[in-house]
Amino acid sequence: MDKYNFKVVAELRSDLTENQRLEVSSKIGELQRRLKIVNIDNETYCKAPPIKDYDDFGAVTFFFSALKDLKEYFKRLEYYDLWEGDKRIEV
Amino acid sequence: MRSDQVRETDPWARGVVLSFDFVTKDLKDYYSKNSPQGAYEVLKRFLLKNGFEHLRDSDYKNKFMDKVDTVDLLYSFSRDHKWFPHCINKVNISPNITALDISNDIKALGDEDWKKAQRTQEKARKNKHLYLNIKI
Repeated sequence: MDKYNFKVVAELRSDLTENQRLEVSSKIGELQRRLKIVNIDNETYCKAPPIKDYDDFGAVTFFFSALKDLKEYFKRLEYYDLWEGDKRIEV
Repeated sequence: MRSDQVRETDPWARGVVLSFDFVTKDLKDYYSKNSPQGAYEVLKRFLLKNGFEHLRDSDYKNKFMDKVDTVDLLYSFSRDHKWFPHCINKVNISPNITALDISNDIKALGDEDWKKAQRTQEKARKNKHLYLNIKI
């Protein structure tokens, strides 16, 4: 795994119905496919390798912006800029 | 720099400069066949409404917005203007770095005697050509 500079931590709410869970998971999956985002553990997302010269900024930040549209489904939605030490907590 | 002053090390501290460029053919296909360049005006209006200042061509500056909020803004623009992501050639977000204009200062260093001598020489050269032309 390349060293990543930006990551999103997104954890779904545990009280979602099966349909809601499927729907939101499908939307997340579609965003991952378009932006080439990988899920490196249960809740952490970053850009798929190769990562060069902070070029993971756009994909991860757009991913975070898009997930904010689905914020009601998350119990945790956070953005980390490991390059400059910034952190945004949406949920 | 005074010893009690702290140097600003965060390059993004003064905001962002956003630069973009479209592919004209894609604008014709997805924005408007007859007035593709109107897309620049649409994005310009949106950016000005959201606190950006027009610099030149397709460069815009916002002194108060950071890079993440800029992406957020572009995401919302893309959501409302479906043609936008399909027409982009390049979008760059860079730190708004203060430009130090030293043009007048370097002009002030110009050697006026040297400049005068150059002008005199040039005048003499022109006069010589004129004289030769008349003689011929």
